[in-house]
Amino acid sequence: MSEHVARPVWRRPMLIAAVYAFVALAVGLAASPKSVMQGWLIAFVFVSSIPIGSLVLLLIHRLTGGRWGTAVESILVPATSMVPFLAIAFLPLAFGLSAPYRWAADASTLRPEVAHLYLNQPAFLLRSTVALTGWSVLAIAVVKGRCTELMAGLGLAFHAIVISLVAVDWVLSIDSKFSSSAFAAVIAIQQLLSALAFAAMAGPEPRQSGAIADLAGLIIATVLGTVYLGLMSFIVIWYGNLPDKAAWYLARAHGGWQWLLAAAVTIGALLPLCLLLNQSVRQSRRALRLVSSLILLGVFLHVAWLIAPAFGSGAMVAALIAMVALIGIGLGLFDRAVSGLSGGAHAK
Amino acid sequence: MTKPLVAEFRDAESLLGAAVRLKREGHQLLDAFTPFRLPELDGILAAKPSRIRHSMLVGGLAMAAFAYLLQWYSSAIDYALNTGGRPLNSWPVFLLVPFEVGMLAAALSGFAAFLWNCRLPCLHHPAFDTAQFERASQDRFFLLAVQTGEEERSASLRELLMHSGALAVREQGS
Repeated sequence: MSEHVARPVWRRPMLIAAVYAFVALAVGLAASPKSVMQGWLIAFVFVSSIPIGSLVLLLIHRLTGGRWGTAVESILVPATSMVPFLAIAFLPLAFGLSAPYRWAADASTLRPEVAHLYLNQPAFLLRSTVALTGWSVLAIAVVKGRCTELMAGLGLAFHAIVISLVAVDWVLSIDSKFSSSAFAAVIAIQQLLSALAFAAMAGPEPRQSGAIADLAGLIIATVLGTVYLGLMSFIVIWYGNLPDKAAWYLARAHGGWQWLLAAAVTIGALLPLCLLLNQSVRQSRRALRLVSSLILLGVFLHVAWLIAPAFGSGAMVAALIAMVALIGIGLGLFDRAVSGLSGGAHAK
Repeated sequence: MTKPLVAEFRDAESLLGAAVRLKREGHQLLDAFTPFRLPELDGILAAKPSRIRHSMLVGGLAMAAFAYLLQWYSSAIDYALNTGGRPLNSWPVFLLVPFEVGMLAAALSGFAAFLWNCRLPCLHHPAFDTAQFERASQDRFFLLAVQTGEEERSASLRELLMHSGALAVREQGS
């Protein structure tokens, strides 16, 4: 194999750490099941963003073509093949919806029509199942190379609809009084950002010169997109000044959570953008690896800032352990997928 | 002061060969005129690193600062209006306009710096008067090299160009 995509050196320690993390989660499940489920939700929303973002990028590339896509294919394709496993990672949540979602435990917090027609457990599970199944079908088609242009176009339209539903379900419905129309777009762009950052971090040296700069340009665009939409939704709500919406931001601006956001913006957006302004950084593989690690850390902090303040610091601890578990297992599977796919390519 | 020499070549290879040879012998290459871009020339002509980026950065930051100041002055000093108890200097809202006009100003100052660096618009250049020069945009490759003051060295430059495969060597403008 000429390209070193994943580093097998990491595999064993990561898997061992993941096993310990699962043991810790099992112990935690006995002690404080609520925090464990809440932490799992945070880790799931972050980790799922990489495979889903990779799938969307590959669907876009199927329609547009271009050098950028061929340069990162060696990472995005195995990452996309992780999408079906997301359904397994989602299962614990399906059995414990009442831990993170107050409406699932007590429907009287909602207006009766909303609870009856939209935000109830069967409907929530149906929407998540449709999304995860649809993404899995698209992912398998993309990985097997059977995705036609028509399928890619329809798949993107499907994604636009389901991401709008599940982003609100998974994250915003924790506080059912809050709504923000641009929220799903923030999540969708952030998924693209995570996938690009992951590809920049794990990717091999590209054969074509200039492909690294393309990747850096895409990362700049998605960072700006995420920050812009996040800031715009805040400004609209700030001008509107309605109690329920202000309460959501106020809960995230006190009790130390404001520092979480400050860290997320500094590590995930300000620092990477300032570094990427340098042409030498945009053209250097190693510098881009550093920038992408910062971005992934920032994205995790942002996801934690969106979700954890509704739960408290116990969820943050559980989220960190669940992150180790999911990333360890995920990288192990990713590694296998890389060698499986390149083995298939050799066989041809 | 003697005029620079314009050497005419039949193809890109002989122009590149001559340019490399001239450089090795210590002559000063001024410019090359070719029907299409030759990336290899960038290394040989050793253009100075462009300062366009700096002017873009300065232009963008200056415009962003100006846009922020304008918003701050108009809403905090010139026409202070209490809207629902919001602070007069509402910095989170004021960040968007500086970002957007800052980007626009960076692009515009980059374009202006590009024109300035290339000395454009330039309606006439002495090299245009050289015979056959119009073929630089068709099928011939031209190299512009300067003679250093001493007589024997300038003679050697002309000789060197002829030896490197030039079809003709003329003084600029003749």
